Amino acid sequence: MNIQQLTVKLPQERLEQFMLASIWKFALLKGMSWPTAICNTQAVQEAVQLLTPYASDVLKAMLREFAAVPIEEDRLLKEARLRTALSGAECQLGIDELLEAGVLFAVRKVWGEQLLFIPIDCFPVWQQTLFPCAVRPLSSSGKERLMSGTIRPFCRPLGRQLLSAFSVLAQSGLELTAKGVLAKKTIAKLAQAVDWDELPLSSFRLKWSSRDHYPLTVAFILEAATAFGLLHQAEGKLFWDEDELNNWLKLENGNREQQLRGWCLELLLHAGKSSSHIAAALCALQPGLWYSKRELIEQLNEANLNGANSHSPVSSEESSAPDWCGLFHSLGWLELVDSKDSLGVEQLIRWKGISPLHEHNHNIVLSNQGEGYISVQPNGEIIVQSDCPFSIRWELELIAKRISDEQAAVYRLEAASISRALEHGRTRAFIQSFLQKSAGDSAIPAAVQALLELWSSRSCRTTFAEVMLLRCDNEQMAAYIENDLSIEPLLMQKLGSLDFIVEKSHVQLVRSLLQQAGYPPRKAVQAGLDKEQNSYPLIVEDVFEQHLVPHTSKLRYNMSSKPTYIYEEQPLHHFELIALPDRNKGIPLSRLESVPAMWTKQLRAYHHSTRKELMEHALEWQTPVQLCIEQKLQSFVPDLIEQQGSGWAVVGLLRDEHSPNRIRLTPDMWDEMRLIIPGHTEPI
Amino acid sequence: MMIVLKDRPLIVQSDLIVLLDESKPLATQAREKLILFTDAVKRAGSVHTYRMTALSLWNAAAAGITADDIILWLTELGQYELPFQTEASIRKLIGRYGKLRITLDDDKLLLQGDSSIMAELSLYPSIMKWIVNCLDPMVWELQNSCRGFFKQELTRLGYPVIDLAGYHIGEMLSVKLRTTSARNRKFELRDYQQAAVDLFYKEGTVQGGSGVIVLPCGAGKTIVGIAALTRLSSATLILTSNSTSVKQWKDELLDKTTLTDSDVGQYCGALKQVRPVTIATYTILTHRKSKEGLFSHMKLFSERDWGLIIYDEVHLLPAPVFRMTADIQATRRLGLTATLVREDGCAEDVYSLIGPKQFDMQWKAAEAGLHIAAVACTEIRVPLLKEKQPLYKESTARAKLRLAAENPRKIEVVKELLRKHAGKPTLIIGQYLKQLHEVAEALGAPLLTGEIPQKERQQLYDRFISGDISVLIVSKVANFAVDLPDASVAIQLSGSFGSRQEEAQRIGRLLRPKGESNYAWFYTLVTDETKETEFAMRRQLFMLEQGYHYDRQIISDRSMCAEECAEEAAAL
Repeated sequence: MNIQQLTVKLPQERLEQFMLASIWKFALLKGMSWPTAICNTQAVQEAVQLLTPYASDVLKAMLREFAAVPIEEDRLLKEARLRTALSGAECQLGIDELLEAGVLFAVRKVWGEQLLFIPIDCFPVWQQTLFPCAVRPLSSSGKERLMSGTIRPFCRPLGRQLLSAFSVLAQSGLELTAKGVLAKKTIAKLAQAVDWDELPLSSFRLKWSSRDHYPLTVAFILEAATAFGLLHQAEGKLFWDEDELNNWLKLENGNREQQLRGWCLELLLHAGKSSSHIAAALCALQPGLWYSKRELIEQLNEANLNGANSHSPVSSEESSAPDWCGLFHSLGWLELVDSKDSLGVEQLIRWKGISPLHEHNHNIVLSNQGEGYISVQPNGEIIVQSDCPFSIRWELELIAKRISDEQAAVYRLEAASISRALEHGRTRAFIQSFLQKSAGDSAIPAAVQALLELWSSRSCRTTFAEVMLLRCDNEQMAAYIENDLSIEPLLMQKLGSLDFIVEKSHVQLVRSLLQQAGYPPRKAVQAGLDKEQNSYPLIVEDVFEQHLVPHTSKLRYNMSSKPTYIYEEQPLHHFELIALPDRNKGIPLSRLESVPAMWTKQLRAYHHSTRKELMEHALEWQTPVQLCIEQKLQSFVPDLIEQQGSGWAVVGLLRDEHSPNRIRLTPDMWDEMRLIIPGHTEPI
Repeated sequence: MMIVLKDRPLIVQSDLIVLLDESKPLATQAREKLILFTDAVKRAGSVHTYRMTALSLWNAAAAGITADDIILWLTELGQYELPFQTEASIRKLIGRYGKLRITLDDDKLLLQGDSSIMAELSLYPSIMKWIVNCLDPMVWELQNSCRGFFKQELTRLGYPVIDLAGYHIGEMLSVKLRTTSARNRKFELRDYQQAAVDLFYKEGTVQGGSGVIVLPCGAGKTIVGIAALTRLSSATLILTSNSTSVKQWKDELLDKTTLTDSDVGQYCGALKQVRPVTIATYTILTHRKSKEGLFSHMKLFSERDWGLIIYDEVHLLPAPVFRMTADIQATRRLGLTATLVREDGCAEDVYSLIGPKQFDMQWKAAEAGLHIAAVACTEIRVPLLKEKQPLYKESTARAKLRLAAENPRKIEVVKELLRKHAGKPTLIIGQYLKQLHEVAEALGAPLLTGEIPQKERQQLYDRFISGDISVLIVSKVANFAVDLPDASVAIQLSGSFGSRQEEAQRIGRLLRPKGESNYAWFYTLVTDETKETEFAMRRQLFMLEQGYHYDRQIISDRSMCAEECAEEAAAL
């Protein structure tokens, strides 16, 4: 579950309550609300400073052991007891604090089991605040390895790859087969529309629907389209949500990549399990600088982050581990060089300047005002600037063939692409006007105008209507058909000056005769509704009206309610979000009153049997005790009481100044003691 | 964050493609740099396409350009951050240049290089089979006969080698360039021709003596070849693409040098003269009686002690000649061409066997320097006669094209153009003989086809050159006849489908500089609203990519009818 989903699920007053927690003191002063503060790097850094040791230790233990994966509360308590020096009650208190502040949340599963989780989109920032990865950029000697390494090929940013895929989908049509999946041809085209290598994605061992029909790549594309609300499925059919598509295409490029990064991380952090530490550490690296993944892993190992060990590049398990670097490279955000050395293959990595690492990542374009986004060449090639809005690229994908797409893209107008555009309802006048406007109102070269005229003069001159009306585009065309000796007998009747009624069974014959005559009719049969004729959504007209100003928006993708293609590893939104007031906070007062007040208030030297009684209560309540050993006050968390004949001993964690120490104590080994009640007594 | 500097002219892609936006302020500076280390791929409109290749980078390295130079230029002139792949590829490829050298020591052919590269090479059996002896990790002795094949293989594997093994001088020849040509015209080398020869000759050192010079059509490649020949003053074998070209070379040699007729031999067709300067065709060299037979004329390579071999139109060099060239690496070699781009992927062989590019001049730069004529290209669309339209509609695709190409209305347009350019030497070029005969009859102009004997042809040429006739109608023989005289106007009545090369060859007829008014006009007549317009578009692509553009005039049926009526009235 992410911040957006939680914001929708939780009442406003609850969101406001989060900010009353002491850890958000500074964020509140800055006027931040919870959805902003929880993933704001500075606010999180300040909050971490204000966490109690209980909350801090529990959170660290949780992230260290389970990364972003939701965990049963009992298991967390057990692990926290094992990994920290906290007593059970202290852990519980820490969890409560985190729940109150909106750092952790709890859901109840069907059988009543409770799962604790950190909002998925907050994981990287909290992980990096708690376990900052101080890996240094490559030294100049390290950079020599770059030159001798194997550079992974260029991949377009994910947004551009998806744009191509969505365009292919719109061109191919959204019809589903009887099995409820897209046509084989469409699936094949979709798989080819993107640059990424499926291997890194498959390393996450995702599960997806219609696995027999959709390769993972196609499921990923469809999942993205669905998550951003661009594609809907209803009554066994797929539909574009043209408003949402319009919004998505008009997003500022950096903002769109940012949203895509968020979506990807949410989709994969749970599946990545403990390898998600690598993802978080990668996200904290500086763009534009080269780093060694091996050094990054070493840093994670030093911080005892579970899972980092198994992802060492030299490990034999490398091939089966989630490949975050490969994934980010495939999605066009990271540059990757495989450098061989005596230890094996070392991956050297660098975030590209366009990588969506930070909230406000925009390209700075220093240019002459008034220049267009594209430049049309006399040979029909179109050079596209990097800052060209997607709404223009969307149209280019339809009317031209993409030749290359890097910092600048090159498209080429071709007879086939123009024919395709005509099929989708574009006209020569529209294409010409679109090119001119996109080129900053520069005139289209005469050669291109002539090509457009030529290519558009034959295709789609005629249209079949479902009533089996053969419709001509002008009287000349109608006269030609009327005079054609082979077609004329097939015309049942002329309607007005442009239309002829044709027998349904003769449609194919008339079509081929027209084709032979050099006037291929429009392939599609007009269905009556204009909307259906233009199956490739028209975005750009609207964009020009708005003067091509890209906009930014808050994250808009949805991981929940809609039908999904890739199954979520942890579908938390299906479970009941537990309200905070229902939770038990600390040890009830009635239980505290059942023991003598002095047991908690004062250090005293008790009889061995009373000492045992105190220890038994500490064990039951999972609290620590304070012991005076050799005139030194020390905190002790009992785990187990051992009975040895008439004597007894207690095994537990002695929390001295340096490091916790598991120890076995007999009652004669301390002088005085008292019970410590977390939340009631000052922490020791 | 990515900073985009849109005022800069270059866009560099990771696949080593460089786009140059000619509309930007620093475009000229960028173009001057690009020519040093890239190949021009396309020049259409304001954005031109260049490509860096291993060969273009090694050619640059051969000229003393470093990877740092190139990276600095691309960074300073680029709109975007230089892609890392590009930087790494440039460093890797240029880094290999100069690491390997072939030298001659006491008649021993040696390969010398960095131990790391030699270690890499030792993994290739195709290299090691030529090694006679490893004198030390950095010096290997090679089989003496392998020089060409060895260089070829190294280039194929991506390891350029500098050949410093030197050349033999060959048979000496006393020859000089004339200052006044035999036809009594003042003659001197143009600056760029001189520069090209200097770069090839390199003071006679082992660093020079082999390589390719790239000049646009009409910029005087033959003159450069002749100048190189006189500079070396040694027996020379000139290989060219056809027999007409052989004759043209001989004429130029006799006109521009002190050589006499007995010094220059022609080796093609019936003539098999082997003289101190011998001109042969690739066709004769690759001729053999049967598919498995020997290339008997290849012996020409060893029939004299050649000091220089000139490969004219080196982009057409056939594979067997490459194989022969591999054997004669101790002879100086000069390649001449208008483009290094080969369709058969043998560009690497040109590099390794002929040598690196020594000089390159852009078409548009040559035009700007008035070294070739500025050509205005116009497409004129002529309507089809109404009476022919039903026939057109019922015809097959092939017949449709023929009908459109032979549209009789084109003759009227030709007449109009001849009136417009009256007195200027004009070629009317067509594909179909029937149409050409009709035009010849209508215009009363002579027609030159492949059937006309050479003698008669020459007479026609002479009359055309002298201005006795200003219009010459030619069939597709114009595509190949390099001896076709220069013209100022060319009117293309029809062509063979969408051949871009044919269109370029026909325009090439107009490129020779025209003196004071350095302009020429190319008209292509196309029948409107027919298949011919489609093919015309395709034909024009090559010239568009070279930076030329076509104006378009559309003649309406109404205006054509009015003119026709007026003419009929005048005739009555």
